[in-house]
Amino acid sequence: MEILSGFANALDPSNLIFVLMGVFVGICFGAVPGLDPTTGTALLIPITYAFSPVQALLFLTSLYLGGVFGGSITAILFKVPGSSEAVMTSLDGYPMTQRGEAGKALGIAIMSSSIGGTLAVIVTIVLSTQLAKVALQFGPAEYFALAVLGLSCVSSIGTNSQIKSLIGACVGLLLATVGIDAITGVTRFTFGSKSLLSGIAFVPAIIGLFAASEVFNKVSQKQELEAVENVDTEKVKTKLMSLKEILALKWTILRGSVIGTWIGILPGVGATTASIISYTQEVRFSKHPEKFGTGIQEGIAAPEAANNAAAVAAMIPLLSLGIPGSGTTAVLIGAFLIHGLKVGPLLFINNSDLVYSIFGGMFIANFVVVLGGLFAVRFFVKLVKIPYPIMATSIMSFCIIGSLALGDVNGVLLMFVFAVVGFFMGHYKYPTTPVILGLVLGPILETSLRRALMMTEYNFIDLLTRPITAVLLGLALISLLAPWIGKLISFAKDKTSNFPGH
Amino acid sequence: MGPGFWPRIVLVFLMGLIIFAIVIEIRKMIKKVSQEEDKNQKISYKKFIFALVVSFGYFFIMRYVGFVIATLVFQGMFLFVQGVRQVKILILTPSVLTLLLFILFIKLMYLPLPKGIGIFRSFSLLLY
Repeated sequence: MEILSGFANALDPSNLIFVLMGVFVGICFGAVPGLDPTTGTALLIPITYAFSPVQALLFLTSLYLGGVFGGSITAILFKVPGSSEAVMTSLDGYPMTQRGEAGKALGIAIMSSSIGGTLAVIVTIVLSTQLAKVALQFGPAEYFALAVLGLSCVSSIGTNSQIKSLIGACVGLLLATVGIDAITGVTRFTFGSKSLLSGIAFVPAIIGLFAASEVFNKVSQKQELEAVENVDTEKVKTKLMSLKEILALKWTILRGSVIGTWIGILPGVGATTASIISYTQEVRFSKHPEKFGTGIQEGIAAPEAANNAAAVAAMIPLLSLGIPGSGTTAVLIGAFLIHGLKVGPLLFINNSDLVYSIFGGMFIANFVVVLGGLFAVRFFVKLVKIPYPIMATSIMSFCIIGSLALGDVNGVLLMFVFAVVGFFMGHYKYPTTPVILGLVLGPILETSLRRALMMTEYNFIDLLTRPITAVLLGLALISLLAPWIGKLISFAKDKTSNFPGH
Repeated sequence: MGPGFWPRIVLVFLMGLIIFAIVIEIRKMIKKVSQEEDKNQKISYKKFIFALVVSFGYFFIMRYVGFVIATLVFQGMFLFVQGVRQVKILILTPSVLTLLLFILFIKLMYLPLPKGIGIFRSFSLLLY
């Protein structure tokens, strides 16, 4: 009955207000192009220092959920996805706006997001409690394999950037070794600096890499950023779907939710991938695939259900295994850290009321999203019209004060270092998420590998033949090689198709 | 298996990956696939350096002039660096933003942000 007390906890006015604020701020971050939920989460972690752990996590998880929906507002109204999660929504959402059906399109997006998110919360509650029980049996060898799997999934999105993703992950792993070695107590790579003894401070690092670098990148563009088109948005009013309309789309929403939940669980891939895959699958399932892109309801419902489901389901590996399921959940680890909490299966034993409050909060947040979409769309649309220089100035102030708030002068210096690194990474198209995943997973990988090797008396073969370890490492290998195999197959197909008659 | 064991493994992996990346880049150069590069040229390093210097300067002067004055000056300059020239925006935005940040970080979160030294300290003490 812990789940009921979790709900009660999240509904307590002193906590509920943080869910409301989180969703609201999240939709703002999602709606404004150039700001995404990940940036928002990184930026606002220092503020949660003043909250209780439950309030902080309710606020940030609600922010993430609101943010994933928020991107669809601008995607539908202006064809400018406010965040990458909403890229697919604009394909069918904007044509509907052009036909004067903006309100209806928003209604579909809101209901699909909410239903997808709610279904995923139920799966999350059931699955993560079970998974945590299993994970408690895991020894160092299994944990090592799990972390390898988490890291390998990072690179499985497209071969073009696979090497770049892996390089980023390795840099993250290397950065994670700075500080005192957990097993021998020897200091490594601190170069005499006392503040590096405890390792690279995580929160300034993510603020620099995800928020400040993004500002530097946008500010240094030679061309002015494109202004959002001036569509007459005064009249836009969200029309909620009727029960009949929801029932007509039930299979689309259900498919989207299942795909989203599944992709969310996979470590390293997040809501953006989920919405893309869900849309393409929907086209395949459809009886009239040619109508996609002309403004049909399925084209909004599928990606919107999927991206919210994925955002929720990404919490499953985070809470039950301590392995982040997406970039934003990796950032969320920062929030646990500043409250002195360690994510992983032990959280279900030591802080079970916190975990169940998060579940309750996510459930409620999905309803709050509907309210926000219903009553505040016009406010969010106005927000989009704030010029970017003002946005950039506020974000930069937040980055610097936030890093100063959490640590000391060194925190700010670290933030700047990561901001500059992130700027050049963005410039040369290196994804930044793998670095953070490497930084998070590094200590888990290292200590579990070394402990496991000590336990087997340095016998690698013993390590690899443990059944769970072998399966997990096998999966990791598959996800590493999958893009290359796919490339080989398509290469072979190209060759054969060159011969007419084949 | 000392403390150097793991970093060595990671470094070996990293070396391998970088060699791989170099090979890919060289092959690209030979094939002269350079359409992608055009996109990169849109970055102005001058703007980047200015933005970086102004942001870092903010952090640097904060301990001498205090949070409020440093923030006001920084925000005005950061807007200017981004090409904002309307005096109204240059004055109004920093005032409103600084007030909001002041309320959030000092009045609500009680953060011990720098007060500055000398006359600036007396000014800061009037506010917080």
